Amino acid sequence: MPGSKNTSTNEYERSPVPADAQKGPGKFWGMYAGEHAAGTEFMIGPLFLLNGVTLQNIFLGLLVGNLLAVLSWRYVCAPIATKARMTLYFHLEKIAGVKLVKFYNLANGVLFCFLAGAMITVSATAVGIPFQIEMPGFDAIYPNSATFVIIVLAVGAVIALVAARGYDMVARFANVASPWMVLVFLACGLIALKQIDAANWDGLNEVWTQSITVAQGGKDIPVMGFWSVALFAWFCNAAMHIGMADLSVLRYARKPSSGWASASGMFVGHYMAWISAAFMLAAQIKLSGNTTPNPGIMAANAAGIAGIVCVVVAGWTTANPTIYRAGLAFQAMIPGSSRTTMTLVAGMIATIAGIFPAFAFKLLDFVGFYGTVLAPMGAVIFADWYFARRANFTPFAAEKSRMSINPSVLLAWLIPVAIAVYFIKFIGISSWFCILPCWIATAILHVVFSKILIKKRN
Amino acid sequence: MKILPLLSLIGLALTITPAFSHLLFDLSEQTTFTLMAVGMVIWFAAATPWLAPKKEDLDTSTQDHI
Repeated sequence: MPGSKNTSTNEYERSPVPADAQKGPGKFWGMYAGEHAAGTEFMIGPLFLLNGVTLQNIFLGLLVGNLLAVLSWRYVCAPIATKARMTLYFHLEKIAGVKLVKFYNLANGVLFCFLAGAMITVSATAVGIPFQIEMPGFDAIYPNSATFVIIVLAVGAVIALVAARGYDMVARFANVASPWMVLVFLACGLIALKQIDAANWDGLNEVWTQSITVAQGGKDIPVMGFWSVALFAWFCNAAMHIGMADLSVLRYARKPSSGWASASGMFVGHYMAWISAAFMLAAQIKLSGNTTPNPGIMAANAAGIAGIVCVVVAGWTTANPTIYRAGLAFQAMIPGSSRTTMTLVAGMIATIAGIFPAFAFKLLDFVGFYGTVLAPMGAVIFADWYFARRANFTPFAAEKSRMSINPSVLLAWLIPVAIAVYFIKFIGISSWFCILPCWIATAILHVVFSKILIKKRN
Repeated sequence: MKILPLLSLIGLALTITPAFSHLLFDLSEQTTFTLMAVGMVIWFAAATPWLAPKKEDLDTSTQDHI
């Protein structure tokens, strides 16, 4: 987000990154591994089990999906990032116009608030352990006790207040915590595997299938098949790769091959950590019959105090920067407003969302929805970059025509997203099936509308 | 100050080694949890002084932490 940070990395927000500021691939491998081992992983893995994903599909689906995500970073995002060397917002501003970027930023901020809310719920599940309160069940939409609400409010207030003080301290703490968190995820998986007590693949498969049967009340219904898992894994970060948000990161890369570094995030955070977290729930179901994916309790069973601290830290280091960024998005919408006030507003919205456990328990749907709304803007950048000359329309039209809102971008974005939202909400299509069609439709519509609506300029 | 990175590594080793030992060599669950907690304390105590002051090199402002 423009003007967002107090670090050295914000100095090229409105100019291409010069050669002497560019970095080698090593920096990106570490960054991606850290950013994608977060609080969300504690929820996503167990949700696969509860959705009846077979053991084979979780291993193969995640392998294929994560590989496709890495290829998207490498071949869709990184080539443009290393040629244009601009942030997402500056690049988009030149195509879509200042006001439309603010609107996109606001959508981003609102969705970030709900994501942060889910992470506040995750942290609260760990903070609540000493109070021995009953946590909401998997189907719960509303909180189940006043104590749970008070814990969420307390956790949310602390996170919002720290976020309001600035980004730097949290980023530094997250940098310290992330190598340790990655190992705790792995340790949790190994200990859970021991608790499952399977001698071989068949034994593991049997426990896994039994866990699904128990979780689904005697049935064994695969709500998510191979392609659901693969597409979810591919597109859960759609806003980052095909949505081009990582232009901001990869503009510092010397070569597009740094896009391969996303493999560290995908195969550590979205493969090892998701499978570990899923095993934690399978072990919990085997040992106690408890099917609620409560990250605090699952981690306490798998790693003791270190597990509980990991859940609190993972939730906090995820929610905190997310609230900070949402606050910046709100600040950009209201001229003259203070960053502190807007961060507190974002924190308040996130905390209220956190009271409702449904946001955490429906995280798969929410993440898919988030990708459906935001990723198509990347298609605009992609089509503008590769097809403007071939299709004979003006690239960077908003900058050249001095438009604050480029109507071709607005329509190309909103029409497919509106149709997708209809399919998700009213037809019941899973959100991760809508992201790629939406992205392709937006790219085509941007080309068509740019030719029709925007007068060609040199 | 060079001892701190070494101590940090010991902290990380104490975080992961007990889990492997539990799985492969039947180290008791309680001992595993205790060693992991000790590893956590050592890691944060030893890594914070040298890792936290490091300046962030990359613009991670758009990351969604999913």
